[in-house]
Amino acid sequence: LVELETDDPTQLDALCEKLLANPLIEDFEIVLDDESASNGSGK
Amino acid sequence: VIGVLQFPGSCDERDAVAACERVGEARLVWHEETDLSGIDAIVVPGGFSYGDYLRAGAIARFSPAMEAVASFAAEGGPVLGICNGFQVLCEAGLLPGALLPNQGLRFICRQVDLVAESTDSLFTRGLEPGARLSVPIKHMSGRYFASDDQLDEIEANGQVAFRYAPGENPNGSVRDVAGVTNPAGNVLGLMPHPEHAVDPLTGSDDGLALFTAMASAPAPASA
Repeated sequence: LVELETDDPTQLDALCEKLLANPLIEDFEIVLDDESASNGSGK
Repeated sequence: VIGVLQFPGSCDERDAVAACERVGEARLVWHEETDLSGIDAIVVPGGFSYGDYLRAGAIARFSPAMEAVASFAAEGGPVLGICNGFQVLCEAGLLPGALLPNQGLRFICRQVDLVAESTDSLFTRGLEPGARLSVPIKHMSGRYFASDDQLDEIEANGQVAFRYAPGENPNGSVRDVAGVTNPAGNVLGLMPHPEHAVDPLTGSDDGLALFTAMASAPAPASA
């Protein structure tokens, strides 16, 4: 589990593909924390 | 001159330099360096680059020096990745496949026998196909993995440089693969440590053949 704050959740997929996961051996799922997002800090 | 990369967390770079100095000149290349002029070959050594955060090799692949290494490799320069260096080269896409945690989920440190398979690469030219090398391993994530299709392609291209000898696969690597090259044969990665097998005093000098072959490789296009 990797938790991070971002101002632009649209970049999360690319971030996972390029760094956080190795698609050859790992799957990933992005879950946005709505509560935090509503406060202006998406997770 | 052989350049040996040094990342924060590397631990085998000095043994790699010592091994290289048996066949020529060598110097450390700090991970922030981007100018590889004067370097004839590169070793990406073992250790725990950037603390193995995320995955072994995942952060190191983004270091400034690795951008230079990718260019160096594209020009035909010899690049040898050992253990963590192998993991870095796979993460960087310079070699096919990936390294997973050992099948037994334990750190393994012992001597293993390797069998040379492809002897076309810049590093294995001095070996006879089927030659056995006694070289130590010491790793937690050394289980080589690639998809069946990818493995078929790697084997068809002659990119399997070394396999663990029959019955000696220590970590569950697919098809006993211990080391692979890129299609051009100028980039080799392997989990065993040839730099720790260059002096009979330590039990074997079988690893020296890789450094000897690397040192006599033709200079890259930009050198």
